[in-house]
Amino acid sequence: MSRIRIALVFGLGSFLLWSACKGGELPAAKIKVGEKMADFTLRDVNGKPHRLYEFEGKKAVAVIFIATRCPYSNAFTHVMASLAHEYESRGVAFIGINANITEPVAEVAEHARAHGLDFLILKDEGNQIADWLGASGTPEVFLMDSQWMLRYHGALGNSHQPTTNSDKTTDDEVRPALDAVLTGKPSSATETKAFGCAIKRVKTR
Amino acid sequence: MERALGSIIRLLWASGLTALLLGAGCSHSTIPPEPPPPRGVLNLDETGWERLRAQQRGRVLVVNFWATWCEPCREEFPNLVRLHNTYRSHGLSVVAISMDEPESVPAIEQFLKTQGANFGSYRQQFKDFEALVNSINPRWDSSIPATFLYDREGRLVESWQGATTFEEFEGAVKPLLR
Repeated sequence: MSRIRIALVFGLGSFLLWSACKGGELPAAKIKVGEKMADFTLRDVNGKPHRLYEFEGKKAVAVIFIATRCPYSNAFTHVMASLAHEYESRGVAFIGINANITEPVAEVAEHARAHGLDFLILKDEGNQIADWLGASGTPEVFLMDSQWMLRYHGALGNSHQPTTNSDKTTDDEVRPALDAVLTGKPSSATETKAFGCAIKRVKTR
Repeated sequence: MERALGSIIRLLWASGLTALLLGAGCSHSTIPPEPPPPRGVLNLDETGWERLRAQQRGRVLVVNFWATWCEPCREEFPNLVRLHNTYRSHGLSVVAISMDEPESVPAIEQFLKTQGANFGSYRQQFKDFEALVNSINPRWDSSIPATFLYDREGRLVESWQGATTFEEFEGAVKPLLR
């Protein structure tokens, strides 16, 4: 019997050491490039509900997770505004989603007005859609084609050299993806790291 | 039944032997001293990162990515200071890498001073940050705060995103210091 006990101790030791020596794990994005984005509903800053699929017929839809207090997101607001302005006439809809529990809807509305974000801004109370999509930070973009297939996920730009300086921020990563969707060509990059601030989620523990 | 029990015992003995071998690989009889932290906040590029990792080989290493403007980073920071103060003599090193802009170096230094941080502090100046993120952990979405734990052999053991408690840090660090 003592042999069994000693053997069990060794076996347990093996497991613990294996656990201690393995690499760290982090959650992966929920929706993958090439998968279809399902419909969802969120309220805008005035409380009016909107479905994603109400943009049916657009050539592309860009969903951008944004923040009011994140310096990285704020460094990109002028990029978002000009992209939306430029690509709207080419059949692309832009939607901003604020999922930060720390940023109330009135603040989100004022922030959008102050920064010229004149596209639809939705509030993801309880970060349900952020969780569902696997959005992790701000700014982070999910770009879908006319069939709601996810074609690009990641940074607007500057992921190789992140900056909070709005003079340096660019659209060098999302623009090729937008153009690729509009021209029906494969995009050179479909996933990039969207460097920014972690979405401030409701506590789950 | 007896034969099956015998097989199980042999299997467990074999795994125990593996544990001993792994244990030999994971432990060190002597702990190298903590490299003295550089004065001030140095810029860190890819070469500096590799050098830093090499200098810390033989010690358990915690690397924290943060920024002065990042509220959860600031909230988390005292846990790193406490972790370092508690376990540095047991072979733990802590390194903080700020994502701030160059003009924020005085703010970084002021924050570190008020925190009583006595470990290496750097400001990221990586040529390709996305590549660095992927090399550290491809699952890291690159948001901060993010903290990474390396064992004495420089292998990644744990990754945390978001503000992490002292107890969570300690729970992962302590077994590596034995």
